[in-house]
Amino acid sequence: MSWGKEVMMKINKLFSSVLLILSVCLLSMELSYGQLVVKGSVHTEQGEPLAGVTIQGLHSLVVAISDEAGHFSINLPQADSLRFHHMGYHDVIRYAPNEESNLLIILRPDDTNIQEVEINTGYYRIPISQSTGSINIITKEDLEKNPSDNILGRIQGLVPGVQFTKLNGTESEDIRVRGLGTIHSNSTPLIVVDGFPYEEDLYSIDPDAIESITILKDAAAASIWGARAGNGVIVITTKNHRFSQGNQVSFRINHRLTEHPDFYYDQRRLPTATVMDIEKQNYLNGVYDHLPHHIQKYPMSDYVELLRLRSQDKISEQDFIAKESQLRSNDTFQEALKHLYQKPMATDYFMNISGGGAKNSYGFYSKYTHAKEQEIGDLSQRILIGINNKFRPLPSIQIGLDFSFSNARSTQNGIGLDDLNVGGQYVGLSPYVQLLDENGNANIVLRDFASSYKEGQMADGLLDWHYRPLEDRNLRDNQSNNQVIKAQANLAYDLFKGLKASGSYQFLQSASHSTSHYQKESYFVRDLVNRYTQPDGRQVIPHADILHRTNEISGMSHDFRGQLHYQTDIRTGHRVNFLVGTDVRQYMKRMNPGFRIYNYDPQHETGTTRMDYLERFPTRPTNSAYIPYQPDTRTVFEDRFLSYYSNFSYSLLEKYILSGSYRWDGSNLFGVKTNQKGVGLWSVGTSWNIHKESFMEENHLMNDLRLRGSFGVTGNVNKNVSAYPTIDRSTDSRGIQIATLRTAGNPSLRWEKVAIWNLGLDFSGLHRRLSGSIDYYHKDGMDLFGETVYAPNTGLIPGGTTSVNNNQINYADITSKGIDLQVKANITRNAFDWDVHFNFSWVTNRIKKYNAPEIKSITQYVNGSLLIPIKGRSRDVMYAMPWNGLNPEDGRPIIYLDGEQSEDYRLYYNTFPLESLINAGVKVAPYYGTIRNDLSYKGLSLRFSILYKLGHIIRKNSINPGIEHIVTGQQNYHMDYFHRWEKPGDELITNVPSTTTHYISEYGTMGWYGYGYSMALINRADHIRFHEFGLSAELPESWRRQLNLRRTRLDLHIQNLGIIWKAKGMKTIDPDYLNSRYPDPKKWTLSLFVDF
Amino acid sequence: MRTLFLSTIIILLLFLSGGCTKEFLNVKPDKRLSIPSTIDDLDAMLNNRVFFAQASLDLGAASNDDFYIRDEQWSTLTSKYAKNAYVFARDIFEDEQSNDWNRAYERILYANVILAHIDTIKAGTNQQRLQDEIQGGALFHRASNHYQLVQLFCPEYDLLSSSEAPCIPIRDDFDLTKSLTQSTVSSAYDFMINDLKRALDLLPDVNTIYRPSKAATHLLLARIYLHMEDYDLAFYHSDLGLKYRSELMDISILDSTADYVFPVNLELHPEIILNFEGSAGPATIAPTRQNISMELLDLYETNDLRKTMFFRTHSNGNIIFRGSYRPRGVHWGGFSTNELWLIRAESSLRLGNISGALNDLNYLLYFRYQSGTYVPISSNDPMQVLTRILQERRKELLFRGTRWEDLKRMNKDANFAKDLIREVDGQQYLLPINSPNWVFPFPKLEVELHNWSQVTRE
Repeated sequence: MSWGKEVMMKINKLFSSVLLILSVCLLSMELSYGQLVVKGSVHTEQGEPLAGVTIQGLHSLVVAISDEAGHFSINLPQADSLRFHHMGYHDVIRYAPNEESNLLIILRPDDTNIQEVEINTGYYRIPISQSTGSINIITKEDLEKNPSDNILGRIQGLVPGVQFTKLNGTESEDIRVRGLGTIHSNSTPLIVVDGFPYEEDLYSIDPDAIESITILKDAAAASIWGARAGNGVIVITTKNHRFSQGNQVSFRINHRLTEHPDFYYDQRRLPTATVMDIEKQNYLNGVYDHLPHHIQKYPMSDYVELLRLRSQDKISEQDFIAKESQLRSNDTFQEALKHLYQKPMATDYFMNISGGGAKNSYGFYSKYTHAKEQEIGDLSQRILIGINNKFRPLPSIQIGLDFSFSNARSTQNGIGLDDLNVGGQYVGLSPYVQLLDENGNANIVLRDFASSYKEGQMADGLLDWHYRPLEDRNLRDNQSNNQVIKAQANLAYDLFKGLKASGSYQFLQSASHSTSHYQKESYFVRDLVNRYTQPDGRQVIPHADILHRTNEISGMSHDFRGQLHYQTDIRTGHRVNFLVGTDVRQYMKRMNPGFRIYNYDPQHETGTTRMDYLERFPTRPTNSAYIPYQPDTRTVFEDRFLSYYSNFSYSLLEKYILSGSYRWDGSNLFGVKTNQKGVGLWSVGTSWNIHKESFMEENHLMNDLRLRGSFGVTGNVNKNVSAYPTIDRSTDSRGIQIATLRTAGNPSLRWEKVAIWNLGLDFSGLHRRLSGSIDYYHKDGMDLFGETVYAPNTGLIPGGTTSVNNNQINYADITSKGIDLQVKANITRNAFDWDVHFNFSWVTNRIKKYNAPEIKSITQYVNGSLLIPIKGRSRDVMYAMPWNGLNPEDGRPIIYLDGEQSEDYRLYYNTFPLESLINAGVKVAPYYGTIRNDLSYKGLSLRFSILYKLGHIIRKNSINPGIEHIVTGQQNYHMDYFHRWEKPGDELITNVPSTTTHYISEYGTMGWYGYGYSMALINRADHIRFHEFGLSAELPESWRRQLNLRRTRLDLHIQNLGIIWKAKGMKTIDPDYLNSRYPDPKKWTLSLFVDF
Repeated sequence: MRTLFLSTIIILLLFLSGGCTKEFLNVKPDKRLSIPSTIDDLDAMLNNRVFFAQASLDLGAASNDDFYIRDEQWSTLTSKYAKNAYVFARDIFEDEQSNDWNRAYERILYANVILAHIDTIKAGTNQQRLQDEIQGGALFHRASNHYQLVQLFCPEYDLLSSSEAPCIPIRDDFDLTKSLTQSTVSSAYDFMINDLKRALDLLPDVNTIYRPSKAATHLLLARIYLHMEDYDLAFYHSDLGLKYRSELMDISILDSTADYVFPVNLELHPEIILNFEGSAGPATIAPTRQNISMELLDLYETNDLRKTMFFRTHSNGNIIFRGSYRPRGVHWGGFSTNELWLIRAESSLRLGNISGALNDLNYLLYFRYQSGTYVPISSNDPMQVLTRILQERRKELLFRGTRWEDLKRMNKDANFAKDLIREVDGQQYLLPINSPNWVFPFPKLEVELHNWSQVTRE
């Protein structure tokens, strides 16, 4: 833990130096430079003070903000008009020719403007009513409601059209924005942080430091991001400080506790007693005697060994019975929960300081997270620091300097269930592992080789070869580290009225690596030394510590943007916005080789990397091998992008809005022919603010009504396809330099394009108690990469030197369409406030053009290992074979071969005609959404959200009839064993086939071919999930005033509350965790917010 | 004024950054990928084994009359094409692809990639000769591989019908997305001749046996003109070829007791001009299966050293071929000086110069007979001399593709045309003169993808 202390000291140092800088800034803020000081206060009509009112000099552009008491003070360089602005109120403009100390301003509420939220596209900000695109905004308040430490976890369920294909997903691969616009390429949305694309670990963004998230879904919104916007864009903005804001300090502490995993969730197991019965049956059937002799080195399960000892009279009957009943009472899962797993616990300490004067504003945040992970011995720590500064040395110049740093370190010494897997050919994870013996000593657990073999070797002088997991945990140290540093500089200059030039530069660097230190006594070292001990007893690998460092992956990017922005005044009723700019991006990723130090001495940091890597040594028990070494390949990738973009919008009387954009994108990924390096992408959009029309004035039911439409073309990138012919260099047996062609290149490579139509309606009425939006969209992926068959005359031939895998060309089409609906209703009575948010999305996709070679075997269609796009069908389609029930006589699946009932399952499967496969449904839910409820009464509030997914299917797993008797290959037990057909009549109540009692049975493994991929295991996956629940309490206002606090809140949040309803037939299955060992356990979070 | 000035500067700056677009976007995305970009890269490509490891000769080897196999060995063959080609079946590949077809086009792809990049590279002055040699080499290989394909998959050249006879697609570009149309026999010959003539201007007179030279190019051109029955040009090119390389090996110095008689180091073999190792060949000519036909063995006179040097008795009793220039294997498809002598002899004779023909033939055979026993042929009968030259071609150039070419070429000449007959399990299979089955079918995949027409086999 000395590391933790060290870091804390470093943080302290850093923190104090930052405070020093900040205090300098604060001092500078105090210096006034104006000749005119206007002071006063702002109130509502009711006389209540209004905080947060922006007061701006119309000529000087000086800005001030009113405080909690409504007081303000502004220094003006000359006599000026002041504009008082507050969201939801009418602006007031007042001329201030003289010094004034008590200017009283009253603002009247503006019903029409209350929801005026600004959107940030990453390039510019506009009020949402001025945009024509389909955009969702997630505010800081919404993000605070879920305390997840990953930014994606916080947006889950908040926005219609953003689908989590993996529940609680933490990476951009886990989400889809509005279905699919591609077939083989990347379908993840583009994530933008503070104006630039972000390709690092999302955990390195602090969700508590985020100001807002804007999700751009259609072409009018996203086309500004050009060639990478086809899958939607998520724009994250972190800065949260303004000029003349006053100083604010916020603290937040999150304490997370996660429950134990439910190991009994996974049905791919059988209880100890049943497994032992099966093993005994196999033993009595002589199955183990049939195994070839050499396998005696390989481990048999403990019970089989015991049976064998008895038959060889090496154990007394009494001992046998005692040991047998001991095994029978063991339960590996219980053992694991007792000795290997703990309830994960994590604590975040977050602090944010921000403030701003007239010429300078600053923000500083830091977060320290310390977590105990699920397996005992697994820890993680993360430090996030961000510093933002804005300066305005002259009224027309604004400079921003931001810096952020993230460092995550994790220790992975835990031993999990998978580490108890024997790893043998004839036994996998035993259900009766015992980790501690009666005396509390670490038990030996079977691993790699039979105990008898190991003991024989040890008798010959080899090292102790036994594996004792509970001891081993302390004999190794695995550490991994991930670091991200980001620095950004912005400069904006007001050239003349309405025209602004700005430039930004961002530098980002990331590095990650992991190191493992294995002590001399660890199983890893002993096992390695033993395996390489020579027949004469010589140890090729020294019996000493080993230090291993994996490849280091580092990323670096430079981003530059230059932009001119022109905006006319609104007064005339015409408003023009015009933007041109250029983006240059260079992204490098390097992988540097790691190392492996043998004979390592951690005390003196000595050891050697110089082993005899060139010779093959005989290894035990068989074969020969080179000494393991760290591969020394280095790879460097470099992506470059260059773009020119423009954006235009015109609004007339704030009623009619027309917008358009054009962007040219170029990249080094493409094009032998330079004219194909880039692509022009564009969009047009229009919007009509109906409620501003005169005929709506009489309508008091409606507060807001807006119709939007847009069309445009965005793009998508596929990095796996090369435009160039590429070669590998080497030396041949003659000693001559040769080059081998690896890809033939594709000079006709183009960017993928996605054309998006969107039609949307925003509404709000009944005094804004009911509001929402509905969008219909249509996405056409065009020029997509699709697989093709190359004629052999191209030279791309099977078995040739040139990769035939790289057989994708631009020709395929896919279309997605859908509806996003969002409704918010508010009920307020006295102090009671109830918000209901209802989100609904429907999305479907269909492949419009695809003509890859037909794959004749049905295997790839049914097992889903290969994406096989078929024209006219969804990309997410799942296939199945028909199910005819079980044979009442023997409980085997009924199959028909050429119309005749048959039991030749293999022939049935191998000759099954493709056209008879059943299109069973889609794997990804076409209907999904959320219902969120926020209830509050005075300082108390309660919230809960429900997620639903409907209309999709899953393929359940089940027994492989008879395979529990297979001893070659890993067992594949399944609890469906207890529901199997056992006697005539069972076929009426079960679909699980009968099994055999002997592995040699021909039917034994064949039954799967009639069952496993049949409709019997296809199930509807519709379900409704209780996703999260939250309860929070605020300190009463009077107490807060006394304590001088802006806000104090205590918040309890519970996540993963389980399924409320699911379609019939799923039994214990959670469709979001179909092949997981267990679903995400319940997570409790207690948060404390204190804002000064 | 000031603001106008400033904004002009900013706009200029914004768009000037586009001036370096081309360089900025020309960086390789993956540093390990090497895009052929230097003379050195292309030189290394031309050294690749694809160019000499496998020539496309299998189909002709499987169908020619120099060997036979026993019935039971035929019926247990798993190689579909070898089995079918042996009995001149209508369908050769069934659903499979053709190795001959595929490998030749792979070599053509290599050549095309080299040719597409050679012009874009600015060679230093001291590299100009290397650049020429590489370009010439790639042109040679492109022509040579088209030549191998034409011999298998196209009808024999014929002045009257060749401008219409369907032939293989000609690939002169590496762009995979370019779908090809079929050529005709005459356009294929024009294409090859054009490439080879360009190669002649670029290649050195002689070269290592792994890289093309003027000598090899003249030999290939002479072969082509033999097929075109243009004996003037066949003579011209074989004559020029012999100016560069003419040395023959006295095979009496070889050790007739060795399993393999020729030098293991091919570079020590004085006759090899260009080495094409050839594939292992069809399964039918594997040393355990092949039986040299008695008709061929009977052609060798008793004092002909080739009878002992070229053949041996396998442990299973078969008489098998061991005279390949390839140390381990039967098939060798390269170019050597003995063929130049034979082509010049044949074209001299066909041009009416019997004594010239006899001079060349006698010179070659002098090195093939036991020392001091060779009696030079003297004759005034052109037919007799021609018969002997063609016989000597067969006896000298075994298992290197030329036999199939000669058999096919002789279809046009009633004096030498020959029906091929196989007998398996008592059943006779016949490949009669001028049968469409002398042309192998295009692989099924190509036909389906392109809807091509081809000679209909019977």
